[in-house]
Amino acid sequence: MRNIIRYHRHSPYLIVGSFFVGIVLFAVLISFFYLPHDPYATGIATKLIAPEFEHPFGCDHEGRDVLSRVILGTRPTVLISLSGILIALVLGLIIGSIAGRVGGLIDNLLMLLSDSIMAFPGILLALVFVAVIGRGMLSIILGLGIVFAPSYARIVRSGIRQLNNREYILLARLIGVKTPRLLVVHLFPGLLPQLLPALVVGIANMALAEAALSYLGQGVQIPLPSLGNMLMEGQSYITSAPWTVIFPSLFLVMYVLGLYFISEGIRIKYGSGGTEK
Amino acid sequence: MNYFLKRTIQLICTLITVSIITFCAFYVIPGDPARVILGPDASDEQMDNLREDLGLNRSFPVRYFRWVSGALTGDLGKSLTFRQPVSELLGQKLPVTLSLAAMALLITMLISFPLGILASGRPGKFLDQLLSVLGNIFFSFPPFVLALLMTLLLGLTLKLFVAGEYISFTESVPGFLASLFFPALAVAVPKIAISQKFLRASILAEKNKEYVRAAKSRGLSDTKAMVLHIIPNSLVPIITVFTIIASEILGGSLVVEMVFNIPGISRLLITAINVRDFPLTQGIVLYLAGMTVIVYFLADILHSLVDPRIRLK
Amino acid sequence: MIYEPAPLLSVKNLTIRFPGSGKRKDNEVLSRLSFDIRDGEIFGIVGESGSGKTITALAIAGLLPDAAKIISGEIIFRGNNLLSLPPKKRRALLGKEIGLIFQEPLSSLNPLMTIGRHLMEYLTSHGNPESPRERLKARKSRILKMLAHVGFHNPDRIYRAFPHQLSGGQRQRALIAGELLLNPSLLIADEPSSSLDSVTQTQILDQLRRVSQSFGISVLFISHDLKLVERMCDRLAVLHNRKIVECDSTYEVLHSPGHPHTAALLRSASLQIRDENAARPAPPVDAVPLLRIDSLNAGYSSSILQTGTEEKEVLKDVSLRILPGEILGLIGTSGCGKTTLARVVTGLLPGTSGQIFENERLVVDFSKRGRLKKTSVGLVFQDPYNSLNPYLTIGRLLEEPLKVNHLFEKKERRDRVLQMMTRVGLPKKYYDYYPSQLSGGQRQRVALAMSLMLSPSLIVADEAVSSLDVTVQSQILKLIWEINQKSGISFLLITHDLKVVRSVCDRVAIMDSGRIIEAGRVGDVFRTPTNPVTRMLIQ
Repeated sequence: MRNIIRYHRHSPYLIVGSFFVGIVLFAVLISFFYLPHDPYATGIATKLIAPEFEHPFGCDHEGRDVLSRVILGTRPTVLISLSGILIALVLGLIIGSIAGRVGGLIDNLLMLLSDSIMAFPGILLALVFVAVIGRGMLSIILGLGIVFAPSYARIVRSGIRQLNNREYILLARLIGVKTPRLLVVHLFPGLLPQLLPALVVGIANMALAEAALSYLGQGVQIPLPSLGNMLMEGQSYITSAPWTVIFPSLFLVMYVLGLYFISEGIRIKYGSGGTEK
Repeated sequence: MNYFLKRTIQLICTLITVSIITFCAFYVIPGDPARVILGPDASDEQMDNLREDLGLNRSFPVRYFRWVSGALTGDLGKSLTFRQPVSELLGQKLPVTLSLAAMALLITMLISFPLGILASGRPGKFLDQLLSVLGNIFFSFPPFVLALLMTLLLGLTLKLFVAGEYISFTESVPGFLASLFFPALAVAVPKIAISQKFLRASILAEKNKEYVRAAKSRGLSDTKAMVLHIIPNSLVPIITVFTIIASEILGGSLVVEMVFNIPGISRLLITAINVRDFPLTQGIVLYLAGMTVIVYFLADILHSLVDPRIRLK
Repeated sequence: MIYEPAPLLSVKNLTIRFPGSGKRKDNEVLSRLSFDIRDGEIFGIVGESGSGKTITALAIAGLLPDAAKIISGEIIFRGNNLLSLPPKKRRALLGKEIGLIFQEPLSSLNPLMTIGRHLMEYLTSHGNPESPRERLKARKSRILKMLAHVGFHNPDRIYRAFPHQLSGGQRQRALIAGELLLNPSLLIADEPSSSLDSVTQTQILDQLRRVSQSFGISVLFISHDLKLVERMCDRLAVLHNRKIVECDSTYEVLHSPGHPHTAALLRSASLQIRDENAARPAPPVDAVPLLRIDSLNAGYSSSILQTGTEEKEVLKDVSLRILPGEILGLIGTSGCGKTTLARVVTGLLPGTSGQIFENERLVVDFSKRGRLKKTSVGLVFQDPYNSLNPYLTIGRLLEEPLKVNHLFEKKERRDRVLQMMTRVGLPKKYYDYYPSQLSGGQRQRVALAMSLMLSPSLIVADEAVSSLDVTVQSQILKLIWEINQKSGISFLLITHDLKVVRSVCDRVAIMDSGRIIEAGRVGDVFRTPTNPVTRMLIQ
């Protein structure tokens, strides 16, 4: 641990970012073991009460403890953003590699498809997706994964096309390296400096998209709490009970901000691509 | 104009693909539209008649071509819930959403350009660092959270505007613009951060290029070199960045409309999705996506006009 | 006492550092530099990369990067110390009195501006009092005249052209025209011809010399190439390790070098590598060729939807024999098809028609849409920075050819890699180094070692030494020569540089616009060239 801190001493972005993301991940972790109150327990006595010792984040319009709901609500956000990015990455790597290595007509068709998907404002396509295959957690993950995949496919494809004519790739082909190994050993490491920050930012954007979907009532369905649908519910009481909006916002922003900071840190640290100096 | 031709062909291909995706998505949608319209008590005969009317029992390609040729002439069918032509509904709501998006784009440019130039002036110094940290913070506020916080802070506490009040442009144009200002700001703030960052990076990259040094070797002052050489060149990649931002702003506007209670396309879309009004949803989605594709196209044309390397291959 | 006029420019005790931060130490890039440039002379500065040549040029022009700090010294131009001049006055001198020409003409032109607008800028940046309309017209005609003066037949077209539409030579000439518009008294030319091929290089240098004579302009000519400096300069300074080690008339320096580094430079420049007495007898010209290329055609084509290259024939009816154990030089100007030939021979690019035989056995017939399968040909590229995968260590790089071909056990592979490193003169400790930690010459040794791992019978070296400093160049050529002598591996040495061919090759083939126009023993071809293009290349 001490070594890690020392290693990152000169990149405050990485430290602060990891700290924020760490808090949110910690919330996810304890949500499995301990919640201060039953997040579903309603009560007239606690309706819209302000933050106090017993309920540090206050209670919402149905008298449910906001702290417990926020802790539980981080779970879908984190789960969806992480698994969604995994789907997007796998799809992006496959499509991008095929387009970049094969080229020709297949490349043109794949890029046309990804252009078309990117033409839909992200949130719109996600809305369509949940409209089509339903509002379950799985369909949100799948939908967001597909919405985000083209941008990774583009990074992978253009990276591979740039590297394709790099002399070290030509040499690798010459000594008899086969395509799968060429991709994994020789091409993918060259993509990392661009791909890694884009991935971390992607997790953040996916968390935002999930929150927006849930806020619009199309994502995670109540009564299951998520940071997004808590904002939707709290919005009507923003005048009388701002804490119902502030605390979910805080956790969402912490997660997203932390991820952006980490990606910024990575970019600064490995900005030169790790090849020079 | 070889490039123009190529790009036009590409535009048409993309539009076709977009329309196919939109159509397919709703083709496989579960639920029977006839049942949506007639309700659970309708007889089988009534249902069959309606299906015949809507062309629902035709094959996929036939339905697709009917729909597309209709869309080309501005006929997107009738909304199932509002019993009104989709194009009419779009005509009422779309201008509001577009005004909001346009205003947000304008705010983004007006604020981010000076900031980007300012930050690139002395890279690594205090002002640059400050802008970079602030940018990263604001960048991570999702528009609707920002919108909520703005309502709370600027609307309810500072009383700069009345939360949820909306003046339509038929009532008063300045009032309309004023009521869009804070929503547009909420959409714009994260985009200002990202565009500032890109512009700064772009200017710094151009600054170190040999032709700038060459220009200075002709006796150009730093300011002149900045205005005549560095800024024009650094704006070239910014065109692409801004097209992406424009598309994101459109998406962001959809959500922010809900927060500020603006009667734009967003509420219509959410309602349409909730009640499974598929001609309406299809129409809205096709329109928004089609518009984005055309914006991308125009941006590429602009790009080629600015950069002779693309135009004169 | 002989009257000596004050020099035009005199640099005295100039020391420049890049201040370090924290633990990093200051990096001194120039150390107590002193020299004079007289009116009307061409003064040369010679040095290898990193010796401080470019920093000197930038310091005189006042365009040093922000990080550089001038620690001490003076730069006196016409009696004024430039370093103590206020920035505005100093800028007024730039262009008008002191002009600059850079190495890479494409990157020193703004891609969004026409040549005409660039040249206009030379005039507008130094204010003119006449009326604007008049001024514009007069300026344009002045520019067109100057473009014609530097040898453009159609100045109008050049005026309207964008930089990317011109060739390297044309760009550089247009920039020279720009400098001349203001008629400066000192022109700093920083490697003005290094990015051009040899024929264009000659033209540009002649142009510079003519200009200097007819306009009476002093030139500070910066180069790494002793031969060019000898041709161009009246006097020269040798820069080594951030210091001037010698400064005298060109004749003096080159004929009786006073510093060991100058002597070393001279030795490397002449590239005396072949030792005829020790050399193995060259194979007879009618020996069974190791590789025979028969009427090969090749080119690029692209599909309609893709932007970029159109269908283009690069190689036209190329026939070539490579004999066992010989070093064959292939020489030609840039864009003549040398690299395409290298790629076809190694199988990276298919030909459109023609055959290739190995030991008189047909290995591929492109006319029948054949593709060259793996052959025993190694390849070394020009740029050692791009030809090694930056993410693999030297050990893994060298192991890769064996590994992917499933040769030997792990331990055996390691031993072989270490043996190979010794063979090409790389210390064993580099096994765990990454390419970025090595110098250019060392990387090229790695590249050579990599091509040797699969024990090829032929290695194609595509401009393998042209990006290296002369001393390193001669080391690598020496290594190639030794490998050839010891193990009898044939080399196809592709280059634009006659010196390289002279230094190691047995035979030479000359290529021009996709055709082989002449081939034969090096001595014969160079003594009695039959083709006019060859003659032009050789003179």
